[in-house]
Amino acid sequence: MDLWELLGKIAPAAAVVLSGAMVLFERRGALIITLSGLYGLTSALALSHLAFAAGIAKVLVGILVCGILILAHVGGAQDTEPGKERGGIPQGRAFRLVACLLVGGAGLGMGQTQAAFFAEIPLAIRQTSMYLLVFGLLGLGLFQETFRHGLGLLTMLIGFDLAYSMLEPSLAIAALMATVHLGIALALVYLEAMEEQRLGGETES
Amino acid sequence: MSAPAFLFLATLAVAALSAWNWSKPPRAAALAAAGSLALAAWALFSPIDAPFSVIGLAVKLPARWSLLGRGFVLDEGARPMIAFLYLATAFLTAPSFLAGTTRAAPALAVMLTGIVAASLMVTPFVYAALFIELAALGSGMMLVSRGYPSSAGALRLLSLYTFAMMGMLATGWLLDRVGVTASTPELANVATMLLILSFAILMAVPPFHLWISAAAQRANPHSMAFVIFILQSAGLFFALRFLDGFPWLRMATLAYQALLWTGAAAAIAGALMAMAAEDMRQVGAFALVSDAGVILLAVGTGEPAGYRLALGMLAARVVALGLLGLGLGSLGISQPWGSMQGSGKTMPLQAAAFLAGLLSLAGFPLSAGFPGRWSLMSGLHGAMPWTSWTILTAMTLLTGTVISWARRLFAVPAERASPTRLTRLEQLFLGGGIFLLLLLGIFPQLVYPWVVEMANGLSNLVP
Repeated sequence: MDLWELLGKIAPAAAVVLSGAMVLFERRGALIITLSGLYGLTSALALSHLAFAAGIAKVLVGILVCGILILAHVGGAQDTEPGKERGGIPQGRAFRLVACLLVGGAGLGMGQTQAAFFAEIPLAIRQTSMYLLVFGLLGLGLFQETFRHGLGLLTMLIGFDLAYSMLEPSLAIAALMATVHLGIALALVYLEAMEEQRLGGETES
Repeated sequence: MSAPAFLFLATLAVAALSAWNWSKPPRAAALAAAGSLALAAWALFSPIDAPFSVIGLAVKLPARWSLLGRGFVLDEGARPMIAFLYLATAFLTAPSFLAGTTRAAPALAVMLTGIVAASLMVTPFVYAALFIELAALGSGMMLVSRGYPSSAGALRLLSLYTFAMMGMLATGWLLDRVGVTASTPELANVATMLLILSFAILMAVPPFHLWISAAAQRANPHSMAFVIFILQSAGLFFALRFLDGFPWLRMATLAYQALLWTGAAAAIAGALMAMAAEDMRQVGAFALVSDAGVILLAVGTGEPAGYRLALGMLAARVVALGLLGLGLGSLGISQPWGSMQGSGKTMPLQAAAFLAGLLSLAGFPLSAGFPGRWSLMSGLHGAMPWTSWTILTAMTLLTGTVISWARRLFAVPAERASPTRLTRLEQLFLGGGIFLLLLLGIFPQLVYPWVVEMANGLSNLVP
C-alpha cells in the first residue's frame, strides 16, 4: 500500500475528526490549527489526484487563509465565551457532540451515494468532501458569532472546492476559488473587527 | 491590450482615484460617478476588434482576453449590460456623500461594478458564479463600517451567496459535462431545482431575503440600496444568460412554473412584510423584495416581451433605489422609528424622496415603476390572469403602506422641533430624483427602448 492509497483510506475519518473538532473546540488558536489541518488534508488529497500546480495552489491558499486568521488572532481578536446559548440555539459541548454524531451519520450516508453524476469523483474524495460540507453546514447553523460562523463557511467551502476540483481541474478555476477563500478570510477578519468595536462601544456606554 | 483588460484597468484606476480623494467625500463621489459614466460610454460605443486611431496611433482592442486557459470576452451581447451597470453606478454613487455613506463607498461601488462586469464577460459563463460570490464578499464589506458596525446582515449575505455559488457551479457542471438534456428528465429536474434555488438566493426571494432584513436596519441605506441593485442585477443577468445558453432549459416548463410561483410569492410576501414593518428602512427593503418578485414574474412568462420588461423594470428601479437610499440616508435615521414621527414636517424633501422611491417600487401610476408593471399585467391577463392579479395585489398593498407612512411622516406632530436646512446640492439631488421618477413614469419611451437593447445580446431568448 503506497502513501497515496493510505491517504485515501484515512482521509474520510480524518475529515470527520478535524471538522468535528471545528465544532467542538472553543479556543481560537485550536480552531485555527484545526482549520490548517483541514487545508493540509484536502491539499494532500488534491495533490494525489490532480496536477501538481493545482494541488500546490490549495496548499498556498491554506497557508494564506490561516496566516490571515493567525494575524488577526495575534492582533487581539478575542475568544467568544464558550458554551453560552445564543439566538435560542443551545451550544453546550454535549449538545454539539450529539449534533456532530448525527451529522456524521448523515455525511456517511450521503458519501455512499451512487448517483451517476458523482461517479467522476473518487470515493475517498467524495466522502471527505461530503463530511466537510455537512460539518460546515452544522457550524453555520449552530454559531451566530462572526468567527465561528465564518469557520463553518470555510469548512463547507473547503469540502466543495475539493469535490469541484475533481470535476473541473482547471488552474483558472483553482485560482478563482482561491480568491474566494481569501476573500472570505479577509471579510471575516474585517467583520469581526467591526463587531468587536461595536461591542466595545456598547460596553463603554 | 484587450478590451476586457482595458475595462478592468480603467475600473481599477477610477476606484483608486476615488479612494485617493477619500478625505473629500463630494470629490470622491464625483470622480467615481464621472469615471463610471465614461466607462459606460466606452463599453457601449468604443470600437472593439476594429482598428481605430488615437493621437495618430493605430490601435486595436481585441474582444477576448485569455487567462490561465479561460477567458473574458467583451462581445456585443455583454456590452449593453455592462454599460447599463456602469451607468447605474454613476447615478447611484454621485449623491452618496449626501447620504452619509463611508468615504470608501464610491470607490468600492466602482470595484463591485467591475467584478459584476467580469461575471458578464467570463467564459464559460457558468464561472460568473465565482465573480458574483466575489461581488457578495465586497458587498458585505460595503455594508459594514465604523459607523454601521453590525455584521449580522453581511454574514448572512456571505453564507447565502456561497450556497448560491455552489449551486450554480454544480448546475453548470451537470449541464456541461454530464450532458443534461430534455431526454434525461431525472438529471434535468435536479439541475432545474438547483438552478431555481440558486436564483432564488441571488434575487433574495423569501426566505432567502434574511440578509436584506438584517442589513436594512443596521447598514447605511444608500450603501444598502447599491448593494441590492448590483447583486440582484448580477443575479438577473446570470439567470437570463443561463436560459439563453441552454435550449432544454427554455423548454423546461418546470423552470418557468417555478419562476412564476417564486416571483408571485416574493411579490406578495415582500408587500405584506413591508406593510407589517415598523422601521422605515425595513419597509424599503421589503418593497425591494416585492419588486424583485415582479421582475421574476416577468422572466417566468418565458416570452421575449417578458424578458424585455424584466430588464426595463430593472432599469426603472435604479432611480427608485437611488431616491429611497438618498431619502433614508439624509433623514439620518439612527434611532428607532418612534423618534422619526412627523419628521416630514421638518425634513419635507427628504421624506418626500423616501415616499416617492417607495411609490415607484410599489408601481404606483405616474411613477417609473408603473409602465413595466402595466405592460406585464396587460400582457399576462389573457393567458395567466392569476399573475396579473398577484401584481395588482402587491401594488395595492404597497401603495397602502406608502399612504400609511405618509400619514405618519406628515400628519403627526413632529417630535423633533428644529427644521433641517438643505444645501442647494441636496435640494438638487432630492428634487431632481423625484422629477426623474415622474418623468420616467409619464414618458417611459424615454428609457425603455434604450434599456431593452440589453436583451439583444440574448439572441436565443429574444430572437
